[in-house]
Formats: sequence, C-alpha cells, structure tokens
Amino acid sequence: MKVELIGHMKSVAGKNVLELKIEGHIPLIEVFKMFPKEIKDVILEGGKPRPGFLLLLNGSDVRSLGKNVEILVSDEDTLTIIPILHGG
Amino acid sequence: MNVDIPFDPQIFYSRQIVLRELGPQGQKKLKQSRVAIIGVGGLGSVSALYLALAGVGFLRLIDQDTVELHNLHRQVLYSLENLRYPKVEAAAKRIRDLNPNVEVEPIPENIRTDNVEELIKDVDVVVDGLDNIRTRYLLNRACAKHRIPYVFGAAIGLEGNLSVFAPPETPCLECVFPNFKDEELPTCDVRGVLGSTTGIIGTLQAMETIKLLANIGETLKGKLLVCDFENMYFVKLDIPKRSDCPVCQGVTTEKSHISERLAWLCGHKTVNINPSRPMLLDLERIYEKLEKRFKILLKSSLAIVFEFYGGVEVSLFKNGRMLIKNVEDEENALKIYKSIMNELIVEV
Repeated sequence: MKVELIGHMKSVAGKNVLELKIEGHIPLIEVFKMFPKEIKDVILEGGKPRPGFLLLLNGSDVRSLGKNVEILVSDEDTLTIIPILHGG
Repeated sequence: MNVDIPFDPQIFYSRQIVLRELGPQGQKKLKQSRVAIIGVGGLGSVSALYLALAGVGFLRLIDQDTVELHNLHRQVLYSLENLRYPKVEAAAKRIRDLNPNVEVEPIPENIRTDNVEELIKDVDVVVDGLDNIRTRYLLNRACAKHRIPYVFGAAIGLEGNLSVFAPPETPCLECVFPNFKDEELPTCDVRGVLGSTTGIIGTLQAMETIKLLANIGETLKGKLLVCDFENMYFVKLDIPKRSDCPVCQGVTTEKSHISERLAWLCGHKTVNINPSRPMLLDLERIYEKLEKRFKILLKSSLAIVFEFYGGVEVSLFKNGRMLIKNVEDEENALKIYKSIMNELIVEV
C-alpha cells in the first residue's frame, strides 16, 4: 500500500511516499504498526491520529470511516498523512 | 499624491466592476461591508491589502505586535521605515494610502477572552491572520456564538490550510481540529516560512472573504483546502460536523484558568503584558517622563518604544499594554512592567 506524505512530513520521513507490503486485507491499526520509526509519532498509542494530523484513506478522513480496528485495507489502498498547521 | 488625477472610485474599481460575477451590485456590497482581520502578519497583511484594494468599506485591524526586521520578507504591508511601529498603525497608514475609499480602524491589542466578542460582533466576516491555535480557538468560539463567518487560514514552510467556518451551517474549527496544543505544532521561527506561502494563503483568504461578502460562487464552507507547494499538491477535503463538538453545541465556556495577563509571543524572547485594569495613557506626558531616563527609540500615535536596562526593549501602548523584548522569564518581565508603571505612570 502507498503511504503518501504531505508537507514537512516528507522531510521527516526522508521520502514522499512509503511503500508497505500488505497481504490480503488487514485492519488499518495493523498498518500503523508497520510505520517506520520516523513517522510512528503520528499515531497515538490507542491507534488514533495524534492531534495535528489528518489521515486520509483513499481521500477520505479515517475518522469518518469507523473504528481503526474495523477498517480493512489492502495493498491497493492509499493512506495520506496531512499535518495541520497553525502558523500565520 | 498626484493632484492632477483625482481619486475616482468608478475608475479605481472599473476592472472588477466589469466582472460579471461582481458587477456594480457586488461592488456596492463590498463598500457596505465590514471585515475584521485578526493578526496583520504574514497572512493578515496580504488579506488586508487585497480586501482594501477590492473596496471593502470598513476594515478593523487587530494585532499586538510591532514591525520587526524578520517580518519584512513576507509581511508585505510594511517596509524598513515602519520598523518598531505598531503593526496596525503602519498597516492602517499604508492601506489609507493605497485606497482612501476604505475606512480602517487599527486596534493594537491581543485577542483575549474579555475582548474577542467586542472586536468581532459588528462585522460581516472575520479573517484569521493569527499564528497560534489558542487564540484561534477563542476567535472560533466568538464567531460561532455571533454567527459570523470565519475565514480560517494557516501557513508554514511550503504548506497551507484554508477553510470557511460558518456554524451552524458548517462545522467549526474545533469540529475539525479539537484539542490541539501549540507546543505540538511547528512554528515559523523553527520551521521557517516562504513569503509566497503566506502570500498565497492570505490571498486565498481575501478571495473567500470577497466571495462571501458579494455572494459569489462557492466558498470552502464544509471543506478544508490542504496545499503543499513543494509538489503543488492541492486537496479539498469534506470536513464533517462533529456531533460532540462543544462549540457547535453552544456549551463552551471560556477557559478562564488560562492566565491572559501575560503571554509569550510565538517564537521570541518577547512577552506581552496587559494592564490589570483598562486604562488610557496620555502618551505625550509619559514621553516627557520617559525621555529623561531612557533612550527613546520611537514615538508613534499608538505607542512609545524605548530602551530599558540590559538590552531590554519596551513598547508601551496607549492602553497600558507592554511588549517587553529580550527577557528570559516571566518574573523578570513582570518586575519590569511594574517598575515602569509604578515610577512613571500610575499606581498599579
């Protein structure tokens, strides 16, 4: 599956897109466990995105899709990590 | 001013009045409109510029800061000659020069629980030019309560976010971004910001404001625009209302446990201290006292800036507020505040 990084998360991770190999369908929360250490902080311990980040699955906010344990993803899916800003 | 060419609004606005989407009716609406711009930094100085040029009849500019050298690469309303001036004072002058047809009200204050509603309740649209989430929450709540559309914008590095919040029709800021803390988010001085980033987002905020005022097209109500200019990634997301959002339920109370008397400014060794009670100082008289003891760096109509001891620079505003630069801790800052007020101005 593709994990697309937006804004300064690209430099945090050192790349624009991460490729994670997914076999069959697995819960989203399992995908979070596969995150490399550079971006592990985006997800809190309970599996929720940390305040300050939006997570999109195929363009939709994961909060609107149900609980992370119930959302099943496959290798075809794209996850997008968007940092929320406050500067001005 | 070139006296041979009089200011004629019909000619000044002619290229936008000819727009089918705006027309004379839209221009008239802009002229009759009132907008508050909260923060005239990177975002606010750009939105203020375009709203003034478009002919919005009344602009209220609110900002606590003075102009600094590191502002000038992105804060397009200011130039070198404005250094140390209260931003709102320099901005108001610039805008009056650009379009004498606009009424500008400069307010050199910070946004607080006790003044936010007063500052926004009589305007048609509020434009966000703030640089921290805490005051954005205050603004969001006041706008939701008074049902004033809130044009949200944020920018850093090569990234920007934009939305229009107008509850109950749309979600509000806290539906989308609840429980953020400023400490968890990167700031301009750490992450850096390109002038064109704030320029684009500020311009988009002016665009959304004009559309709201003149009833043009579709705004970003219920949407969040996310921009990453590094690879020109733009996405417009649907943002849902949150059923348990306290702001939209109308059950918020002001978080009064937060001390608002003293606040550190985003990424500086600068602290803002408000007077313990409202006051209006006679700057002329205070100037006479101050100049006997300190080196005066600037006297403007809204503030006096002078050198205190040990490299500390103080901007004293008409309303008794002080910006104290180059201080390390709160205790020291309060001590400086009190000593100046006690000795030179009033009993506090």
